[in-house]
Amino acid sequence: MQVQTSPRAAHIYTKRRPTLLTRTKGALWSYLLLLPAAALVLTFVILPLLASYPYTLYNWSGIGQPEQYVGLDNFVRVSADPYFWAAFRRTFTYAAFLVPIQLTLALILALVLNNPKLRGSSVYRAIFFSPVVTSQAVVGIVLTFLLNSFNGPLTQLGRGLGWLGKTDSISIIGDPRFTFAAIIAVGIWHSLGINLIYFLAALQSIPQELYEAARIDGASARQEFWHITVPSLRAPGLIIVFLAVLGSLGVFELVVVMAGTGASGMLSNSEVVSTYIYRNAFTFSGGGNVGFASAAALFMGFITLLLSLVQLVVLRRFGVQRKGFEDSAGKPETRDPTKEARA
Amino acid sequence: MKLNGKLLMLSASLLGTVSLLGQAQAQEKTTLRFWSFAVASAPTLQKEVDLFQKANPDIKVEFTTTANPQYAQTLSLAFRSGNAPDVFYIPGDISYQQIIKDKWMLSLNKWATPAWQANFPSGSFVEGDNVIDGQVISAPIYGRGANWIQLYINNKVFRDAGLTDAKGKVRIPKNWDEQRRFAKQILERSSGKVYGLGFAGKGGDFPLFTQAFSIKTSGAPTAEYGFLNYKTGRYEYASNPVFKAWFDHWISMKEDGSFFPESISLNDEQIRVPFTQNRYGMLVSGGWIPNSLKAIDPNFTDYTVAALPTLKGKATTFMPETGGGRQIVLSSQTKNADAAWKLFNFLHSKESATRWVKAGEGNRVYSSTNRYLSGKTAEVVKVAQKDSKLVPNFALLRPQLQEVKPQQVTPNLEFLILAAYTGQLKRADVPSALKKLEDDSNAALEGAVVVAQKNNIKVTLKDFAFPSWNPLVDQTTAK
Repeated sequence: MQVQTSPRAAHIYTKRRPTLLTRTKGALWSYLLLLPAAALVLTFVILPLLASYPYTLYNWSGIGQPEQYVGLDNFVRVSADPYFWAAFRRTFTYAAFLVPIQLTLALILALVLNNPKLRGSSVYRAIFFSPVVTSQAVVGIVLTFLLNSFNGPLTQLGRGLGWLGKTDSISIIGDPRFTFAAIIAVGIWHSLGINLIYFLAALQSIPQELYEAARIDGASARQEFWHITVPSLRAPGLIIVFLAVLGSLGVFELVVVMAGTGASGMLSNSEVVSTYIYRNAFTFSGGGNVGFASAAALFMGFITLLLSLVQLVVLRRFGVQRKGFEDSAGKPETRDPTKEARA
Repeated sequence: MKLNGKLLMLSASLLGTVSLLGQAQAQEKTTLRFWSFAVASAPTLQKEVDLFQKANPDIKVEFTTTANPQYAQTLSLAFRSGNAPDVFYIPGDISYQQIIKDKWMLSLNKWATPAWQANFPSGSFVEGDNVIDGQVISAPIYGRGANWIQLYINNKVFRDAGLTDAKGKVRIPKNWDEQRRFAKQILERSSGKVYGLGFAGKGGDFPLFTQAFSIKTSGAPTAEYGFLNYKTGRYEYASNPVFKAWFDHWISMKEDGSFFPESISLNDEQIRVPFTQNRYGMLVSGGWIPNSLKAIDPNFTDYTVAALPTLKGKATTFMPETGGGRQIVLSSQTKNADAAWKLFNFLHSKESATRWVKAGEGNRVYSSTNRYLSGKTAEVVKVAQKDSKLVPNFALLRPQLQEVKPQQVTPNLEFLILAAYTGQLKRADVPSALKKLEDDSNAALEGAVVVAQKNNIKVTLKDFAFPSWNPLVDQTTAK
């Protein structure tokens, strides 16, 4: 059977992808505006990261030049250290609890604040955003004092009700069963505002005509949410999720001020990878081992890099649209030779 | 308009002239940077700096205090970037041999002549301590006193608990049993509202380490910060029964409920506040405490400074003291060596020492200033000078020891101390935990010796043992 191609199919087959130069020229201003940020990341993140790799091969206190070469011994010790893996698990536990709880709360609040009938929404926005602009260290110290100040009355109440023995006492932050939960709770509260703003911006970019059309067709509020809001939030939502995950993996200040480093951090079941690295690099009496700490940091760096790659793959898998790759109908360009042949 | 314009030009030229004059003046002034980690003494040091600037109007001093452990890190970065201060306190968190090797310190031989050295008590300049290969690099500033951790007793809490003698003076616990009984009595007499002992559970390892400091005078011979026994060259956490005895004492106090519950979540500065509020009766801390307590509450003076209770009520081993003394040095990167020397000399002078002692900062190397000791500072110095013996400077006798850098052991002693408090280390598990700590510490030492040997350092494990050292007598050398 002779296969005849239509002019449209021929057009699809012969349309050429724009060259790299063309695409760069087209987005020149974007690249220029990104340049300062990229330079800062290169200077303060990438280059120090690369510079720290040689130190992983030495036992080094951080003073003078590294002299005691140990080869890959630091990596072997990190991989065999149960405290590293405990910190590693805890870091992901922190993210696993913080991200869904915080983003759910942020989305709910964003939906409420997005209601045009709500008065004073800008005030509420400022209130929810104010913890974000407060230093985590300050927040941690103040909340530690606040939680501690409840200990005395709670202890007296417990003893009075017979729930506690005469010598038992309650210490919210000091009890290893509750310390990490308290840190997660504070973490959720602290950065809730920024994700609220992200969701709010995403909600406000959804065309209102979609909702109007749905209402005309008799859709309920729930149907509007599941069939318009959720699909529209998919792309920005994925980015928000991954930013939240990556941000939570780097938790440090809250753990340091609320649980401490060294023995107190470990025993309160609160040591995360960043405080593990800090403990091994700096806080041992007589000096730490920056080489060993760098090896641990390298591990964590690779894992974070892996997560970023996963983000890239997932975004592509869920078909995030990019301009310049649409057909004449505005749909993402797809190629189905069988359909095109029949056409 | 013309008049306004002329006035404007006149003002501008006047401003410009003043600015130029100011710049010229500023250019004539030498600026020194002076760094310290002594947070509690910062106000007193600032006063000394102000007096120095008044006496030397051509020198400006930028004085910066940074708390440990950030001080060591900041100083290290400054040296690496070629931006080191002119004058600085030697950090305690960095090996002294490392600082010598990296040539951080400027030789003072140009100014520290034998005549100048004669101002100090004899034995103040010791090769290997403040004299390196014949070059004077520092001078002693503080007076003798190796027993630098004391027991601070809240007198009101003790009185309210009936812990006074026939004359109404508070009773000082002499041994661990007494300390436990006193703490329990405080708790019981206050119906659980006031506690026996507080400590900083969240201040890093050092405050936890100080809780076990009395082990050093209860039968564990030490010659340095840690617990390496230089007589045998081994760590003896399980072999020496005093460690288990201390943990038994610590756990007993916990089981009695005698600890201030907030201890676990407060750091070293924060735990002092409830002490001044009479929330607990005993605090183990150092000679920097009196000024800090005064800053928290100037009216809080009703406390006693005492020696730490020991296992048997008297010292059976002693706090180590070596000769010499070094705290402040000049930087090898200074571009103003003469001006830096002036500041160094000023801070080490008898006049400065007198003001220091009068300010309640502690004793200084000049015995003539001791008469100005008063109040709590005098109590601190009295305790600090108790129960100490001269020990050899082992790193000087065998310099290769400093090239051995053992890996930090986890869990370390401080971890076990806190774990025993939280109940995560049970009493029955203490012997095995101490055995593991001993084995891990000795294995870390052996491993570090192997690494040093691989890096062409001639050192063996036996080099850490000085069998001729007798920790019970004053001794300045050993084989």
